[in-house]
Amino acid sequence: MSGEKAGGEPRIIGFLCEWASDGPDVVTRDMSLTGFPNVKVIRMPCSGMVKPAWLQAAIQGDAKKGIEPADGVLTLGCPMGDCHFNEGNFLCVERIARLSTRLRNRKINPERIGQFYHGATEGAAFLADVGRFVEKIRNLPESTPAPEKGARPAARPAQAEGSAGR
Amino acid sequence: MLLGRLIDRVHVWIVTFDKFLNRLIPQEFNPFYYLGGITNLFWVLLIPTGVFLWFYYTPSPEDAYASVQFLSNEVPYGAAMRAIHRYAGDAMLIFAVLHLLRNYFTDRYRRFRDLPWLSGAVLLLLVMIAGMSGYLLVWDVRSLRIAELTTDALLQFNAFIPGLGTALAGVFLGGDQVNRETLARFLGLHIAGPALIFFFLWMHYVRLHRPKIWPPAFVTLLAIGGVFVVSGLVPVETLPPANDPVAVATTTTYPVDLFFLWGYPLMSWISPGAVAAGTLLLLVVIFFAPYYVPQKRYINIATVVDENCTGCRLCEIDCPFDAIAMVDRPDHPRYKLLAIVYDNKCAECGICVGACPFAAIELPLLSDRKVEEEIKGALA
Repeated sequence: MSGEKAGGEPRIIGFLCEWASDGPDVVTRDMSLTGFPNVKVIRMPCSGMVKPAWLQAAIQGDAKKGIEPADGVLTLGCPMGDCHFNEGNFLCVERIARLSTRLRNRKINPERIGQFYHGATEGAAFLADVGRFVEKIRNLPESTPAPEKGARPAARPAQAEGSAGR
Repeated sequence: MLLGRLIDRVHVWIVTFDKFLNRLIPQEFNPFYYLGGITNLFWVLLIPTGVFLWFYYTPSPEDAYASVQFLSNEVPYGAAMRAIHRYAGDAMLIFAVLHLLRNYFTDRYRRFRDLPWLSGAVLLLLVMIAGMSGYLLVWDVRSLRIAELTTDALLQFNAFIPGLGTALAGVFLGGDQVNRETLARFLGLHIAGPALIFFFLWMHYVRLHRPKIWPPAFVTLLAIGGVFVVSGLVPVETLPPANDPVAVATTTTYPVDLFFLWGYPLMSWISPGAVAAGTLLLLVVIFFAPYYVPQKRYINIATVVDENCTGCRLCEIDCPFDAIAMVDRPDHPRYKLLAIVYDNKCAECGICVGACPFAAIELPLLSDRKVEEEIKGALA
């Protein structure tokens, strides 16, 4: 991870809701963000579809599936209260909060997950936020993931949240 | 195409306005995210005030006007109740129309939302009928004029089907002219019509798992307080009674509630038939709005992978459209429940996919395997 990162931009994967700002001015033809060739984009019907397991696999890497660890992930949804499917972005926030607890337990900095909520016309604001996020990721200390314990499934549903959530 | 450009344009305005408002007040209080809830709030405000007015109302042409005047002048808080009932009705119509426009221009009316849209159109019609018939009940000169014009408009239906207009006007007036039945008819229209609102509200909500029925407390207080302030500042006007032939002959102008009674000045300027036909046309346009654009549906319905499903209910809980149900699974050794998807309710949004920790539900066009491939490809 460190070797690839040296000198290069941090590699980030973005999960973008197709109802939020993912117009042609934001996403280039090779599925990366305008001005950020290292931020790769995966389109989702709603930010509520983003699976915490995917975010975790992207940050942590998954040897079995051949996924290399990225330096950060980000999700983009519509503004709170304005989700096209009513609740997708609220659910996304809840799930990422639980995932952050799990990541903290594994000594991975949950700051590596970025959440952005911008409407369909706010592409410029979104890109500005991404710029700040990339800057933050670049300055983060290297994370040292704890070794995987046994054959634990990648994401357990509600275990971590019980202890730290409420 | 022109319509499509207009819709896009207005959508941009709406989002820009939301953004502006979100900077002024906390996002969760933005009243434009709760237009339907605010409409429902005014509807609930209308019920107790309406019952209060009903206690004092006498539905007969001789006594109706006197009973309303007694209510306004003698009964404690009577005038205030009457004003709140009137302005809450106006507010309900305003917010219902805003709700309709916002959902139209933000593309929230097609596909899996056709039932809410259609029931909403019926609700709007019922609100209009309730509001217009409310103005008939006072039985002043304005009520008489409204009754005449409505009868004229109904008689125009004779042009389509001979006899239909006459029959409708007979039902409306309870005879071929105003008689002692008439005001009871109007009261029935004013109460039975809105009673149907409950049924169509159920239809409006039935597809949603957690409908936003109430606005947040801040918006609730603001809305109710606004109606109270307007009711205190602008008391309901008093017009001469309809029973007084001299007053009817001499009163030529009177205030018109532009929200509910916009049709009547139009009828005087154009013709009752044109307004009736225009309203019918508008209704037809609204009713078929979800079906003008060919719909891409039933192509990406969430699909349960039966062997992975543990019956944990997480997808059922998170689905915003109630499209997932849990069924018994007697044949499985460990798991007692299995998720199934109602394809006619599914919005193809993938929220269930995000909820499932077991890769047991996926969208066929964007399966877990495909997303993992994309992650892999992006990091390669």
